[in-house]
Amino acid sequence: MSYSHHRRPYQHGHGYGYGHGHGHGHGGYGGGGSHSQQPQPSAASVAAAAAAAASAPAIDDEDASSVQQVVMEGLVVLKIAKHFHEEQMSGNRIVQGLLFGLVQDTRLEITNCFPFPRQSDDEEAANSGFGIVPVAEFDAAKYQLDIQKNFRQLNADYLTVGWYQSSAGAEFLTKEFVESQFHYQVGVLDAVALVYNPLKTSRGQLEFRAFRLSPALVKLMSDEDNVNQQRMKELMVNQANLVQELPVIIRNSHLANVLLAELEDSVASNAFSGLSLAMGSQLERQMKSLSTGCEVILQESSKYLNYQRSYKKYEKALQDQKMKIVYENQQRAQRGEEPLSEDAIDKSKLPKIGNPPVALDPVLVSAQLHQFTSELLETVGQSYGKLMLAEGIQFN
Amino acid sequence: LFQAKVSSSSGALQLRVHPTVLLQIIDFYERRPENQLQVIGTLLGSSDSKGQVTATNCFSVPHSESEDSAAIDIEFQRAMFELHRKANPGESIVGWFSTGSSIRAPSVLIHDYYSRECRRPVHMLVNAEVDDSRPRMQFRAFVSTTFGVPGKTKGTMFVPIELRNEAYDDEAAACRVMQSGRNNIKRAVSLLDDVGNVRSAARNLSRMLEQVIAYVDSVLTDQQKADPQLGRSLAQLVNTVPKLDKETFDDMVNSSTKDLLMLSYLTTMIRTHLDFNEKLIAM
Repeated sequence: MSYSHHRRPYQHGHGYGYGHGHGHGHGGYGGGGSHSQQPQPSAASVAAAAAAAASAPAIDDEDASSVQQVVMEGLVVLKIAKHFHEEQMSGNRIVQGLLFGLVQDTRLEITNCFPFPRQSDDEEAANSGFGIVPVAEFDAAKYQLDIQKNFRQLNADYLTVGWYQSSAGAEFLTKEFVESQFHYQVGVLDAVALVYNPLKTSRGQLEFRAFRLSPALVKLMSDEDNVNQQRMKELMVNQANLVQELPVIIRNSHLANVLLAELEDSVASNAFSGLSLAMGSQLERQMKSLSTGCEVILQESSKYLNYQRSYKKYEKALQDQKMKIVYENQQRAQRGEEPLSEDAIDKSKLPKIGNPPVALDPVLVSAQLHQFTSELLETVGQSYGKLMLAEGIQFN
Repeated sequence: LFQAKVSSSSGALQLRVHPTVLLQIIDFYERRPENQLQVIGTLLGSSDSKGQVTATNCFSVPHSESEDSAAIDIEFQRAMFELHRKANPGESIVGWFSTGSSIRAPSVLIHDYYSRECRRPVHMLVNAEVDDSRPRMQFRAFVSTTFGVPGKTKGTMFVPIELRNEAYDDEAAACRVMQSGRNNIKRAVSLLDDVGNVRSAARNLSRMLEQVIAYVDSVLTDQQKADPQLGRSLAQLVNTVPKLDKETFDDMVNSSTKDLLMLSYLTTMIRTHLDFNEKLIAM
């Protein structure tokens, strides 16, 4: 028999996705860092998280996507790896691009992707080459539309199903990341953010992780003026349910598998590079990110404490003024005069309180720290295993 | 097949193809329009002055062909190239690919078009038609050269050149991981975590060691003739294992273990603090 299938010619239905999301600088504080794995990235834990989120008040079931698993095609894997490799040669450490594919039941299939343009040299200089910034004249929406138009002519899936970003560890989880993913998720309900870890790939281990914002967080971010402590408590947003991780698998067509088998001898890579015992530099980098993260969270909590203190002062002063008015009104009532309203409080005499700290920031930082810790723990576990292995080899 | 010695004037001598290109061609081929037998498209990459052409990317171009004519969507070709150039300005057109088992008459016309898009285009032929009688895919590369009597009738001839597979380290690592998918009934490749990765590498290692031991045993028991070259590489292998006495090695392992334990202790502590902090704020 001949393996020459025609695969799903046209996928009509969904409109073009949201054209935003390109170009967020890499605002993370983590310097280096490495990679990580959520404690239990199983379908069960994701489902549990979704269930927990669904049971939270004020969240409708329609808000939750049905996607529970991400299936990538090998083509996408290679295109992203190639994109990163080529950009790395020209000094860019973070690459981003669009993902195209389709949703089938509970599976999100990513069948193609396309890189975002490289940032221009001027801006690179202005930004000291850190991350990708929006190119001034670059029209992300038009760019996306052009790709979709062309993909459609080629019978490729042209529904935008998210975006990808490279990250050498857990430091991707920044405000920019969350905001960008929010826009994609508002545009296309099932959109995911795919994070590629090039550092691990260089050690012979492929890592792609898919993330979505939890329905609670989407709800929180939808009404912008209302992101405060109270609302966060109501929606039960905390670091553990900020983002949901979906399990990722790679699947190739039969013909693509034939090709990969064909390439087995000519395209060789060292299958044992992952067994290297030299993990010191990596652990050091992860520790550095961790300690920077701790500093940030310390700052955040002292900011919060300061705010609380000044807010208490304000409350007290306000109370004093109110008491004064009540007292005054009692006297006025005795004298038979009109009572004063509470508006008479002179706000300018009250102590100043600054803007309340952004409620989401510390949660985000602590979610990132959580990622750092699990990634560090995993590296430790791996190193330990390798040590045992070396011991076994040395004496047998 | 006509074999000719390629003179340096005919340009490219060797085509290096990245797996990303081949996998994309397979995808285009699987997604071709229903009534169409083959797909063609543009090869992107770079070429150097020594006649070495590297194809790192490609895209397919809608076309139709008959016995002796071909039409390709030039508009589309240009638009798609523009998009690719925005994404990666370093890649330029180096030639074109087609699926199929042999060069067809319209190929000359298409090659003509690409000769206007770049100097000395390379033509890659991918035979993706695989069945029981012909289980292997075939990749070939050609350049064109003119022949005939000067001033009289001239013809175009496709001369085969060497084709090599090449990959970035990242691509090669990805290919290796994905190769496990072909033994899986669902064709699924799951991504291993850190420890799983070590385990699978260790398993591979022990399998290979068993193979080597089996070979050495069979030579020692005279079941197999010793191969001096193999022997030499085995000796080299044995010599690369560092000779450490038990104490030094134990010291090394112990200090590393202590470091790791301290790290995991610290990390767990930070984590507990984090959880604690959050609970406090939420109160």
